Amino acid sequence: MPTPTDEQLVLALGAGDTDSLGLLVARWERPLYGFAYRLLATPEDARDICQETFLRVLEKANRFHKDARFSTWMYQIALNLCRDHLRKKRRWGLLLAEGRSPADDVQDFDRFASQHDPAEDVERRETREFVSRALRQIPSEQREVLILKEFEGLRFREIAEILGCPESTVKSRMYHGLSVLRTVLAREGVRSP
Amino acid sequence: MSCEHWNESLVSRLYAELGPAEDERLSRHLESCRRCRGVLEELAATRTRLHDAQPITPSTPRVVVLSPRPALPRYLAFAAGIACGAILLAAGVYAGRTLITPRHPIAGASLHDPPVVAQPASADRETIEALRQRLDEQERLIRTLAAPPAGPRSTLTRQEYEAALANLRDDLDRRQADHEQFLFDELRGVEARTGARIGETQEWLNLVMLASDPRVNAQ
Repeated sequence: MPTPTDEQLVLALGAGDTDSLGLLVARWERPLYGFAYRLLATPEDARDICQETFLRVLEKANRFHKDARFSTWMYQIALNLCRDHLRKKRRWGLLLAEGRSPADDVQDFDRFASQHDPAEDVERRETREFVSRALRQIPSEQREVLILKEFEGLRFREIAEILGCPESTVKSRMYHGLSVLRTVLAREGVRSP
Repeated sequence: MSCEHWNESLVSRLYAELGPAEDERLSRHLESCRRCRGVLEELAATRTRLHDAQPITPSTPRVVVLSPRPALPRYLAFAAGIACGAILLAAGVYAGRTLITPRHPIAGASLHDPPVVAQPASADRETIEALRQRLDEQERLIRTLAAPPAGPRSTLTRQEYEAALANLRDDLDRRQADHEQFLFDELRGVEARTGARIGETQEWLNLVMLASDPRVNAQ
């Protein structure tokens, strides 16, 4: 029996076969979590977004269009949830002077990255930290494109679908995102390979 | 002439997403344009740097997948619905007759009169008596089970008896945890079906899970 595609699984889910959700989770849990983590930088937030995305998939499966791609649809849901989350966080960050700021998250992120592998050589660890920080200094719309392209490996056409904009806009954001990143890394003293 | 209109093509070349015709055009342009050759090299170097130093993702947490309960066959569900309806109707009629219809007329009674307590009818008295007997039997059974099996016929030692009791307690804890898990799944299911957010975060659901953990109760 051939392995069902993601699209077949989500259509079955929409028709009431809730077992399909288990297979979709098994396939997409890791990439989705990685995506949310790179955008939000805290494991707890990424976990919440990941779970919420699968709940939305379950809830909206009956509205999935049979000609659509599951991955595009799923990333679209996750991206919207991440944006909402960041918006709320920024709003509360302004209201609560004592609360956590996005800068705290960057510090947490760097701390995590530096503690993750003690055997990692110092230079490599520093570079990783610089790149993490630099990623957070570029405009969010460029960062989203960079993450979807570089870490999630999506094609420009798919990213355009997810973001709901023309492919040329995605390429333009990619170009400017890489250019800004290069400038920030150069300022931080990270040499080109 | 500005080369900015080549930027998108440069990015596409970087990720090998350029069509053959456009690729050919870009190659011809690159032969004569030092600026674009430099930009392409810089983009490639930044990309390599980004890829090599991509942020580490912590290990993926377990995502809760709602496990659906096996559904009853349609005819059984229908029969169960009819049976439940009949039971509820009978209970309603019985309650109405017992509680609303006074056994003794209380016409003319005022707020200052002592309360009139309705006496149970003979059928009710029989029911109450039967219930009382069953309760007495259950209480006797519980006392028998709870008493340590002392006496010449018992083969259990005190330690064995206590171990059996501990097993029973563990079993009850496990069942409680199952019930809590069921509750948890149901809540998530309600959220998923209705779209209503019961909590802004899942924190309180985690508390439900925590409360259902027998080890937490033991502390």
